[in-house]
Amino acid sequence: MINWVWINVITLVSFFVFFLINQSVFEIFSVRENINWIFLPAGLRLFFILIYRHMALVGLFVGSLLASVYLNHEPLSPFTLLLALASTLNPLIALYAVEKWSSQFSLSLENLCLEAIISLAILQAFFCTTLHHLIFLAFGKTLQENFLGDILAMFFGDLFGILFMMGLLTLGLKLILKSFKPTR
Amino acid sequence: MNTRLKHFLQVFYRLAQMEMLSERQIYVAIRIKSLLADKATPILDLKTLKESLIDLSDDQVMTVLNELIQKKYLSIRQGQITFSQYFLNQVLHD
Repeated sequence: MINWVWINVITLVSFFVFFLINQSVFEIFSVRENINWIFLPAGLRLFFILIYRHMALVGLFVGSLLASVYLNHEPLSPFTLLLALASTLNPLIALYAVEKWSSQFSLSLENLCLEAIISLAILQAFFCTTLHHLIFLAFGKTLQENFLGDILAMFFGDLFGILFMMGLLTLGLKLILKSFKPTR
Repeated sequence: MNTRLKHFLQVFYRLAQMEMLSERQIYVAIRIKSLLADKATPILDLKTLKESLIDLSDDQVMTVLNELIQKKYLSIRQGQITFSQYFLNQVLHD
């Protein structure tokens, strides 16, 4: 139980912080509210779902909701609740889809490879875009004149966000490795 | 550590370990790998390596080896090349 609380607190806080960083650093890539050409928290979602699966759902959900309400200044409503739910569930749907369709991928992440992570990222971006736009349509929030542009921006925003986070992680590990000289 | 986290980090650990080697360095490393495959100990005779790289001049081989020495991947003493564990386990493996 304590472990579950910790996982969700860490998930929530890191999601909120990265949402904040995304808003301030990548503001120029923002298309409109909820849509950004680079969305770093998408990488965190994939990470927490891959590692902690259902155990991190509450943290991701509350993190998404708080970010929408406090950072995007949207009122707490069925619309924001559904968006937060869609954001939380899309990496999980992507995970089970890859597990179902790929014989080489296992939920234990044994033999995990870069190709599988990129497949997950693409599927997550696809499900995220689809679910969000279904909700936008249901609540009449879609701008018809820029429908395709919004879809593309959200899809690539999630994908670039995940790839950016992967790049950061690799760079961080590279710096750590460089601090250790190879032994003869 | 959570085993899933371990598997996840291993993917990026391998990615981070990838070294940028020049085409010629990769060519020499591949030849070293094939020569070491038949040996019980990871020590190579410099002369044997030079002879196996017939399309490179002695100077070119020495230039590449010196570059690898700079990277601390190997050392040469009395005509014998010894390799770092890092080079044997990581660079040649990748």
